[in-house]
Amino acid sequence: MRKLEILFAKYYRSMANTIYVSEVPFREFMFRDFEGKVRRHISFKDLHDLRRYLVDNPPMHAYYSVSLYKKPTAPMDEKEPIRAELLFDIDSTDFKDEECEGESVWRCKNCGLTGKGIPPERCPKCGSERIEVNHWLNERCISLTKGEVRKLVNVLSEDLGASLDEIAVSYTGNRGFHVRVSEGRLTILSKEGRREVAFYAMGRGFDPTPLFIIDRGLLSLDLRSSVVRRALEHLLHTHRKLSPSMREKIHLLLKGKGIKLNPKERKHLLTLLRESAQRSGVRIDWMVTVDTGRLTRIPNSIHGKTGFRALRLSLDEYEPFNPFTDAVGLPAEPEIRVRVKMPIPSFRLKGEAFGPYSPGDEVQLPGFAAAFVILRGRAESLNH
Amino acid sequence: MREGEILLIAPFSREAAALLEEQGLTIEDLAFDPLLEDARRLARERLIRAIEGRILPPDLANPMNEVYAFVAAKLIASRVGRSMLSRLANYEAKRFVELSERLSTDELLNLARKTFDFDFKLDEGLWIDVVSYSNGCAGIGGPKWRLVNRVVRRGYVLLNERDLRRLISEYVKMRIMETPRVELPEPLEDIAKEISDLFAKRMRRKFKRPKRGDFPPCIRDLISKLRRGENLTHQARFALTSFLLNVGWSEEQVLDLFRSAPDFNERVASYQISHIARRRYKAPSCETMKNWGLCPGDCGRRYMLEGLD
Repeated sequence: MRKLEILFAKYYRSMANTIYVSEVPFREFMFRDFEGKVRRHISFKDLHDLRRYLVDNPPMHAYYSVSLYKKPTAPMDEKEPIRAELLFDIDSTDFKDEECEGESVWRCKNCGLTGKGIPPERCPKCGSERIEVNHWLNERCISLTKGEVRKLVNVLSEDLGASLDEIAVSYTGNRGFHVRVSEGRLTILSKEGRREVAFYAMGRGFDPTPLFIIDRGLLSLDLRSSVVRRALEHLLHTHRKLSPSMREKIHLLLKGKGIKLNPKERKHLLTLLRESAQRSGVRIDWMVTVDTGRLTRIPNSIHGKTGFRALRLSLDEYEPFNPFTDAVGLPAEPEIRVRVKMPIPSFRLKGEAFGPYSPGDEVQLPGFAAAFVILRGRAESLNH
Repeated sequence: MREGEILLIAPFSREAAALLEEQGLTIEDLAFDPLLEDARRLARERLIRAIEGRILPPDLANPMNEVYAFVAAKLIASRVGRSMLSRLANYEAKRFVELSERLSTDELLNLARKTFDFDFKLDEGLWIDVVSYSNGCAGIGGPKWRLVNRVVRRGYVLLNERDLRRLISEYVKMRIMETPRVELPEPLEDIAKEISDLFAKRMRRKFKRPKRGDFPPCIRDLISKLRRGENLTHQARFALTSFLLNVGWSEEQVLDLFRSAPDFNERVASYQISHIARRRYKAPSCETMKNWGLCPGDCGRRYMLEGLD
């Protein structure tokens, strides 16, 4: 057995009892092993059965279905879904933030040009779009995504009516969070209904025209819509180039007052509000929300691209949560000697500082730190 | 409201279903019972009207007949095929929107609660639970119907009565589309044959099966939905038409494709298609398709026509 596998096996032996999935018999499970082999359409009779499987066959990645099925082991279109958790994926990879992507390394697959930071859409040298990226993760990525979690939890409870005890937040084990509603009426949303809800949270497709109120030639906005309020406030606070007269008008709108607009101003306001609704919306990957056939990481299992635990957190826990101390799950022993393939910035795990390392360096690291740099693809293990 | 009127207006209602169950009505009764001759006639008429797109005035004298006819028409349409069933679903939805004006607010809310499990709140306006709203509005096009453009608070969406009737009609459609396809006894099978011929005649012009080759998945989706006789939103129709005209289909070919739309009306459709052709509208951008909810996923194209001649 390779050293990485030993680390995973040790984790599951000591921590299997923290693995928790609700309504196990109705879920589909999927595992990917260290050779990349995938096993799908698996089911377990209970939690105990699942935990024993993880101890006996420690996987590199472990997933379960957001849907509950009558026949979880059947092929996809014969599973007979009962209902599905409403899942939102917040991933800092989608944010294109300078600081979060600062240590990411990209490479053009066409001409081999490499660079650091936010990956370009096209290679600046040859124009190819075939760019591969090795993302890094740091505190900034996590704090950005926490901000989105906060906004989303607010939309879910204030607007969509989910009660707080139905909402669960989990750290994905990599660069973001999952927020899910696992109980209640929202779990019977259809695929199309999920799209409506996702777009609502994102402010996508916002068109305030149906929310205009026109009274004696004066136009006001229906402030009962929280998307409208959010968009107006966001405009005032973040839009630096607003003309003084437009700023004044937005102030009035926020107070519920009617304003006069000529057609040109009206068009301009519409554009401003549309943009603002999206900017102030929650940044989620809506394709994940719509996909009820989705598989998602088993809470408290180990993420095979970091070695971190995919942790289930309460609404009080996610704010102070720091994955670099709280989610390190793999043991320190056995230590692993690694050779660095790509630049590794300095990082801290469990309070201990590591790096920076340059390509070609050979270092002996505690298991969890070695796993982190190997799984990120920046180093390779020397002693199998 | 007169007694029994709810059955006339909403033959799909839980009340109607409960009455049928109480009477223990079977398909054989529907097919052979001499007392149900009128209902069979009405069912046939209903299907013809659905093909023609004109609403049949309800049989005021005998509300229960309306329910029998509704059930028989569903079964026959389903037997004929998905396109016919979809046609009927559209007809029943339109019929409901028209006739339900006669219902009081209370009656309307009760119907939606009992039949479709809607939940309401009355608080300076009518509020419907966000799940019923979102699951239903997806089939209705236009920015007004998007959840993001509605007032939403604590799990409820503000709605006026007119929009509620429209929303219920979407559920009527969905419910009818769930009708199973079963073998029918002879008298009903005969009607099915007649309707099938009539329907085929109506869609007489053969599809020229144009090449679908490398169309993007969003367009392939829309085409197969149309072929199955499913209803497309206004925006979906626009996207499909502008795309096809842009890749060189003739107006005539596009019109032929739309023949299987459940509400197909040759005059209206050909006007719309030639309008799009005259104005030379471009196919919507991928961004717009996503906003309209018509993008089934990332296909790697940057715009719809990418890679097409």
